[in-house]
Amino acid sequence: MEDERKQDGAWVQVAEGRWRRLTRRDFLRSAAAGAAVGSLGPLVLTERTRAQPVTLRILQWRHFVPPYDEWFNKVFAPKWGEKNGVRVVVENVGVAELPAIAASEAARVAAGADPGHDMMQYLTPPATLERQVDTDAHREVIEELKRRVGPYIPLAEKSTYNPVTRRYFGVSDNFVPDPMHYRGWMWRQASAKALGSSTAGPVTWEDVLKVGRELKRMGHPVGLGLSQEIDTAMWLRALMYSWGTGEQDEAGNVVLDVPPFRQRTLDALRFVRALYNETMFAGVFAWTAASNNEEFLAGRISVAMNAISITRTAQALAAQALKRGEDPNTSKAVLLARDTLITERAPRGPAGARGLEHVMGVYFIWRNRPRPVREAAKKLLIDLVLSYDPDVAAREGWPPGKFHASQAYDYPTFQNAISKQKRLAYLRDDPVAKAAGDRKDKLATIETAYEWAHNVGWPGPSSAAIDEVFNTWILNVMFARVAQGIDTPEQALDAAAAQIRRVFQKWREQGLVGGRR
Amino acid sequence: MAVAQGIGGALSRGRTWLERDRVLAPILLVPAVAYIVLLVGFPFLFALYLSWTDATTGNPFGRFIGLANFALVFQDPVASRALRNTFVFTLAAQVLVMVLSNVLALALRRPFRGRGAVMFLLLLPWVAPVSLSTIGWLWILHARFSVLDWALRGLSLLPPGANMFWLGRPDLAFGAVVAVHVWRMLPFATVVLLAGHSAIPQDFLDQAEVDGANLWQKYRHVMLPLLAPVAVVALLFGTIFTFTDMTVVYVLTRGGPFDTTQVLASLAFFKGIVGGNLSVGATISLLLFPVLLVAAVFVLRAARRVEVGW
Repeated sequence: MEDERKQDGAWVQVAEGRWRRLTRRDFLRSAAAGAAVGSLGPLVLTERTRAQPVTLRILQWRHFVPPYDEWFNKVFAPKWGEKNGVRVVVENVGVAELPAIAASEAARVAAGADPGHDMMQYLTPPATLERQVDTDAHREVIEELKRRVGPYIPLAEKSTYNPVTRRYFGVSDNFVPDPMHYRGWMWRQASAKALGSSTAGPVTWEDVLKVGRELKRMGHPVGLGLSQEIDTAMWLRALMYSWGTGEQDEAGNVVLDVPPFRQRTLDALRFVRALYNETMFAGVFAWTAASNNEEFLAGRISVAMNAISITRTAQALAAQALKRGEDPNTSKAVLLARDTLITERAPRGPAGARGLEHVMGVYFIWRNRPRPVREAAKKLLIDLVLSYDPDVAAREGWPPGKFHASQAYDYPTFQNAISKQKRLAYLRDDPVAKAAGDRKDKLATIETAYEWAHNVGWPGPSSAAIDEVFNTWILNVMFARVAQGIDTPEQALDAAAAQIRRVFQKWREQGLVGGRR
Repeated sequence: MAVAQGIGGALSRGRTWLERDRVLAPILLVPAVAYIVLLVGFPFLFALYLSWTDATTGNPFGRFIGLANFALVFQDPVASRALRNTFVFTLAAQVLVMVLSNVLALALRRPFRGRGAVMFLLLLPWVAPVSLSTIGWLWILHARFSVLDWALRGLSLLPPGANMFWLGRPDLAFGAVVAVHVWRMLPFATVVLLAGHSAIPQDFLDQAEVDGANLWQKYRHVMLPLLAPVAVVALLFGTIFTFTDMTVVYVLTRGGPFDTTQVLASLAFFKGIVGGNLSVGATISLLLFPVLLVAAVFVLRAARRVEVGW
């Protein structure tokens, strides 16, 4: 009988072994109680919240270097919060999740509601969100930091400042250099055959093509993605800029199909077609953001373009091997780490050696945040940038600081937030490399990135139009279709230029993008 | 005292009034109606509104621009490709699902040892979250570590160290997307057809056998006509699920290689959310509406026929 009652929804258990039938009146009473809790609950919670100190809610990516999150979430944020009387809540998500969350939070800000977070860190310039962010707060942070630590590098200025509205849509705290990675012995051997004498590494794109042919014959092709993902978008732009062309000019006019840029774009397209046919393999069309690391560390590819994550991953594997007791002179992991090298600069094309930032760390504060929250967000950003300096971080009580915690992955956009001397001191005696049995100053050349790293959309700003062109992979598809022989360079260029013009026109009408054509 | 009695009487009258069927029934329907209005109706109307504006993620209300977004979308070759792909993927996947689910339902209609385990395994793709299971497929089809490639190499169908690059070649990527759709929709269609099979009177089948019908003839002339109404429901549900899905393409290919697997739902997401062009994203998503409307009408009619007939 009891089982039957349990199955029959019209019965309720009022005590152990005691059941009674649920009447309509009971049902309505319970429903009313539920509705009351639902509607009055927020009021009760709001009253409770009012009694608490300022809470600052931050959303940021799950950093590629896990010790950075350890430092930020467990050292910097709580200690900074304690010192400033602010409860800091940090939420980390995968980088791919950021745009959808930002879009929904922007809609809530526009509707006058609480966005859910007070501040977010994006990994691309968030120009499309300009109307919903606190541009004045950003300007105040940047001006204060300029006053305290010196200049904000042009790469960061172009990635956070809209010259049309004269507003800062974000504050960049870091950029990540994007050098070329290559396998040392493979390159030396292949270059000896291809160039007549062994060279230390690629210097020009022409080197990559010539030596790449030999590398492919050796069974270790060049691995530069040609798919719809971020790494592809970055290296193709680096190549275009090195050919003296790009999506736009400094004023925001679309120029990639306009003389003299048209010819340069066509030359770049033909070069990529040759590079694919002669040095690469079909896997580049299935490239993902993880492919550089996977294919390089698995030993298939010999050349890739990436942040220092390939080197760091190789070193992490080597350090694990050494911990397991492997011999550093014979351990495959250690030998791979030692043989993983980076170029001093981006490869040179006909117009120069121009590279990109691999990712651009940009924080933004939503507009209309309560004044104490806004002030807390500003102060946290200032203190975070100042904490690049390990001495400042130690003095404040949150060592080792941003540069060291990120293992030199985060490079400061306020160049003097940590002096060059201190940056080089770390890079020339790199503890991560040492723990891996690797050469301890291998990454010191990354310092030159200040001279060759450019923003997406260079020589113009990283505008909302540039952001949409980037995120809808128009250039990636243009190059891939030519490389596959589906379109001629002219067809692909004309189709891409038409799409890009439509995108620019839309954002110009929004008053966010400059230029006329 | 009199006031208390008055309040008590009013409450009592109120309760009696509430307990009337014509009052209580609409009240009980409110949650369902609210659910549909808030989670289906409102987003649809908002998408309609967005498509007539120049809204962006940074300016989500925008200003009225008429049909400019539709003109923009119809000029866009990627949108045309996505529209074509959406139809082709759905058609290819549903044809395969209907054929395979019929075969499976026939095989599973009689009890046999291990039938429960087979049913459990069959249902797994349906109960697993689509994003997680698609990530599983991403690894199965991985450019370097694909287990399918490993098997092909084991069978000497691929040279040592070679890969198929399933997601890097347009034809293979197309096949991969269709295969994943078939894999996830097959359990639903099979279960629906199995239910249909169990409702076919055994007498009909026995009579056909007495008349000398073989298995194909029994299937063609007895089972298929009786299964048709329920099969149509499975087909239409499968069509709607496949037509509106963006997860498979988003996780597996992100529309690549070079936009050859882009579908309307994924393109709307890339344009509207990732690219920040909310109004154009909404306009692209509305291209799904006419097809879904027709499918919904057919689903409702088919469901009604099933109800009446059985």
